[in-house]
This record gives sequence, C-alpha cells and structure tokens, in this order.
Amino acid sequence: MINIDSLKCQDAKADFALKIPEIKKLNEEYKALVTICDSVDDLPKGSLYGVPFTVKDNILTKDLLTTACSKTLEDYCPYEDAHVVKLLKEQGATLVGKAVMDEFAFGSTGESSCNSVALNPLDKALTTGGSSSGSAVSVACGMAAFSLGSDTSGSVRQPAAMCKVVGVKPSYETVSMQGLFTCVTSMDCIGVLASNVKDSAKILETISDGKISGDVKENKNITIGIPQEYFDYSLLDKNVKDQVMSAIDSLKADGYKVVPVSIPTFDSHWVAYNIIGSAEVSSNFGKVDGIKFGHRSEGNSWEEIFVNSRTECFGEKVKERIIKGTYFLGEEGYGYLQDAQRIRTKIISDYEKAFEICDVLITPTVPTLPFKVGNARGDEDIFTVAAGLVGLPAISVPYKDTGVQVMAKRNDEAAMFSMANEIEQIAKEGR
Amino acid sequence: MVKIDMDRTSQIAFIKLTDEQKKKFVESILNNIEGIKKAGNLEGINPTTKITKNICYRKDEVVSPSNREDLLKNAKGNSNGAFSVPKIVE
Repeated sequence: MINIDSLKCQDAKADFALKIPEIKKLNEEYKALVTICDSVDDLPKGSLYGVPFTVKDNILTKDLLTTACSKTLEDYCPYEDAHVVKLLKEQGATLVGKAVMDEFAFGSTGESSCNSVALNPLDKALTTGGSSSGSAVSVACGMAAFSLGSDTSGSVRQPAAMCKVVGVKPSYETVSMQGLFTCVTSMDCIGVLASNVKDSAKILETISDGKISGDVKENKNITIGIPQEYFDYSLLDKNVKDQVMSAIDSLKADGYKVVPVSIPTFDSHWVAYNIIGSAEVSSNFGKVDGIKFGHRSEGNSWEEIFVNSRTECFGEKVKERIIKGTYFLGEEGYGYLQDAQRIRTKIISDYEKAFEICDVLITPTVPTLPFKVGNARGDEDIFTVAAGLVGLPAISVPYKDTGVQVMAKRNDEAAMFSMANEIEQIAKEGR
Repeated sequence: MVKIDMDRTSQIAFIKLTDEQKKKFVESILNNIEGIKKAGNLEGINPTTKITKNICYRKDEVVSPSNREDLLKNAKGNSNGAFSVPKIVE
C-alpha cells in the first residue's frame, strides 16, 4: 500500500505515465476501477502534488464518465468536478481512475454493480464489502494512495474493514456534498479510504476545506465508552468480538479509561435507517426519469418513457428502495415513516447520553470476518448505521483480521483520529 | 391491519414490477413495519427530519455561468442551444 509521506514527486505527469500501466495491470487482476484516466492536467505543486487517488463512481469528475455503476448513467460525463475533487486537484493530487461500487451505493458487498465486481486483494474469493468496494480495493492493492467514497450507513467503513485499509466518515455536513449523487440526503457523507490513519486525516482536512484538522495528536485523557448492546449482538462472530476486545484491553493497559455505556435503541437502528433511507431515496430518484436525466428508453407517451426507462435500467436493489420509499411516503405508509423518524430522535438521544460520560465509542466495524462472495447475510451495516443516523464522525481501523470502529461526538474528529492512531499503533506492535 | 397496494405504489414510482418482485417487496415492507412495532411506545416524541439544528448554507456567490456547449453535452437531444425532450404535456 502507498503511504503519502513516502511519495516524493518531482514531475506528476512523468509519474502518471509510469503509474498508469501498473494500474491497468492491477485492474485486470482486481477489477477495482470502472474507468482509468488516460491523461492528467498540469497540476499545481501543492501539498498533495503527484499523489495518486481514485474516486467512487458516484462523485462527479470533469470529462470523465460518472456512472454510479448503473445502466441508467452509462454514458453520463460531467462537465465539472465535485467540490471535493476540485480541492484535491488544487493541491496537486493526481486522479487515476473511477472506482467500482454497488449500483448507486445500494449494497454492502459491491456485488450489485452493473459493471465488474471488485476482488479482494487479501483473497479473491472473499467479499470486498461495499458499497465503496473499488475504492477500498484500489487502496489495498496499491493503485492509489487514497480514494474518495461515500458513506450513508457504512459504505466507506465496511469495505475498509473487509480489505484491511482505513476508512473514515466525517461528521455530517463538514464535507461538501456538491457533486455527489445523493441518495439519503439526511445521512450521506463523502469519506476517505487510505492506507493509514494519518493519511486519512490529511485528506479529510483537504476535502473539508480545513474545517477538520489533519493533525493527529496523542491524547491520553480520552475516555472510551463500550456500548454493551453492540457486543451482545447475537450474530456477532466470536473471533471479531474477541479481537476487538483484545484491542480494548491493550488500550486499557496503555492507561486509557474505559467505561460501559448503553444504547437501548440498538435493535431499532436498522429499521429506522431502512424506512427513512428508502423514503429519501424514492424522493431523490424522481429526477431519473429518462426525460430530465438518465438513460431514455422507447415509449409512445411520456408516461411510457418514464416507466420503461426506470424499469429497464434500475437494478433490483434500486427498485426495492424506490418502491419501499414510495410506499412509506404515501398515505398508507406515512405513519410508519413518522414513527421511524421518532425512533431516530430516540437514537440521537441515546448517543448524546453516552457521550456525556465518554469521548469515543469503540465497536467492531462489521459483525463477521470477510465472508465468501455471494454469502452476505444482510446485516453488514448493523454496527455502522448509527453514525449515519446521528451524523457522527466514525472511522474503521484494521486490527488483526477485522476492523475496529471508533465513533466520536459530532465535530470531534480530533478525538476520533487520536484514538484510531492509538489502535493502529497497537496493531503494528502485534498486541 | 397493514394496507399495501403494490400496484398503486409501483404506478406512482413509475416502475413496472414482476409478481415475484411485488411479493418480495411487500415482505420487505412488512418486515420493516414489524420492526417499528417492536420499538415500543413512541407517543409524544418529535420526529427527526434533519439532524443539523443550524443549517449552514454556503455563501451566495455570483459565478460565471457554465459554457452552454458543456451544459448540453449530456443532453439526449438539443436544438438552437436548448435541451430538446419528448412532448410531456398532452
């Protein structure tokens, strides 16, 4: 994997010309990229000069296909970059390609892409996680030093855990969403995947326009909260539980204060996300009708064009979300949507109470070790969904065979990065 | 009694569904509703529709309009420098 500090670029164009053949070869093997760049503009000699990066295919890139791995956007070529991509290019970072993903980011294994399915460099038979599957793989196999992904219920953190890279989701609304193909407006965030914690912090500082500091500092005064309900989850793999507990034991041994906390609404997280998320998706996808936006199918009337375009081009998961959302926004289902929003209020309150007695929460990122492709249970986002619902910053750090998740109070990325850095050190020391 | 009219829902969503999909999506909705029922008493709790109390919009700044040619690049059809679309008003 590539460490940003190890790169000493003198000539970004020359480095790009050398790097692209290597990326093409790696892509034949791991299928992480849906588009590979064939040229690079003159870049300013900023803090990221010549650092290669990839971008999830639902984030706009000027003059480069942005398909969200959906048939409906198969020929969509934006005329401008997303704000985050502009900020990275202003610092001289080199875009090398667009990363494979689950169609419109609906999925947690990368398998619902209408393009290729990325393969896990650790073992090609195992899942990459998703939906930012190609982003994680492109970092894990050394195509890029970092990648931008999007995270609604864990789409950056889960693949990070499955591919053994760092994945970070910032506090809601600290990073511009301009140029992200939005799905769940009240939860979506653009996040970062990188080979290490310090690099992820550095990139987050850049794409947040300096709102988040990239300076990772040690802070032994952080109190760690352990939400019991996460560790009592009946389908939590014993190996994952033991490994995360071992990381916590090492932190205790290093002098950190650890306290138990309770999240009584834990069992309701997933249902609240599912209903609210579907409703927002249904609303956001109204524009993809074949007239204003997206692939246009044949039809004898505007209504037929709408129906044929949407029916022919959306995959199964996209259809399910839209249909469910349409139901929950309609007369028959609206009461349930309001109840889901009430549950969200209770969930937010639970986390506020937890953060009255601790600074960070530590949990597993995913409930299982990487499983074989095609064997998803459907609960992959059970531990990552809360940060989306509450708007918290959260990071997944590789530890032994799994990922350890650190969540912090809203806008306290400093505590999150500090703790993540400690866990990374413990992992490096083999403790 | 939960009412789910899948024909009406798919019509509003402008998506044609197979019988198999209808059955699967109804099951998924019922599963979610079951989850809501398990959440206990929700009376008197305000629904959360947005999680930021003070929405911070970006500053309104005048920017140069994008090039018309660029804007039309993804149009399925165009004429006289404008988007051309199928007739949608009867």
